[in-house]
Amino acid sequence: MAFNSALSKLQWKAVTGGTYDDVAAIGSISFSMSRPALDITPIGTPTSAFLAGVSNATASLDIFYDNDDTTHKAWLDHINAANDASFWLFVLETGESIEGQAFITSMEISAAANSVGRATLQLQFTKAATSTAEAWTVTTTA
Amino acid sequence: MPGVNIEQDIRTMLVAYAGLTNAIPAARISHGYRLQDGALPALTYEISSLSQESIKGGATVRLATVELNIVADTTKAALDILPALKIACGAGTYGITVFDAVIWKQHVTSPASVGEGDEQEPAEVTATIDIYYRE
Repeated sequence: MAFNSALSKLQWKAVTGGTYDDVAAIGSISFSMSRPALDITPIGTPTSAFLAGVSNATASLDIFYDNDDTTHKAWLDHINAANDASFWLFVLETGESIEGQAFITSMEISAAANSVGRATLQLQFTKAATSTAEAWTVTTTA
Repeated sequence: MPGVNIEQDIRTMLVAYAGLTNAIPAARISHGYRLQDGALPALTYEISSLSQESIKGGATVRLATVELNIVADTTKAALDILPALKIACGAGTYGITVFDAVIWKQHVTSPASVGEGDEQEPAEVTATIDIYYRE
């Protein structure tokens, strides 16, 4: 069933164990999950064969950037300080969620005439070094 | 947090600047329309579009595109008010609504003209602004 993106929200926390905080001024968010297949087709074989490859997940955010927003500022600090991957929780309007641990790999702040300042963030999800958990998980309301 | 309504908050913004109300008394600054035989100069405004710009979470960012219409007897009289109107359209807290950014987009001048019989159409300067506010 479709969900209302306007009523969905992004939450974030810097470290494990803490509580998630709502993040304000998120214009849009997109996730990209992939697992490119590995080609194992032998020479001389007329049909391709593949193995499951290595999964990868990234996300990008478009925000209305505000230095005074503690979370926006914290994201910049994370890049400056080479912090550990932080925790991201996207809660759909329906109550389902996508959660994962990700590094902020870039944050581009832009300003243009006739508009307000914005920033674009790129996230790289990662599996925690000491964990067997996947880099990201999806929960349903069921 | 929202104020009483965004229309009222915009009026609060406009009348907050004395430089504007010195040129156009606050009683002549109105939403939507003015009486045809009302005294000039006058200022009307209306919201041409209203949209949600951010997803939920914290304060929602909303965008109101507003048309402001200065009506005066002459083109010069209308244009003379424009600088004060530009200053009046600024970021701030109006009522309890935070206008994070008020962006002056453009203005268009319609000179005074002769209407039917001995009527004269007043001059109008129509400005368009974008207001990014939190709700």
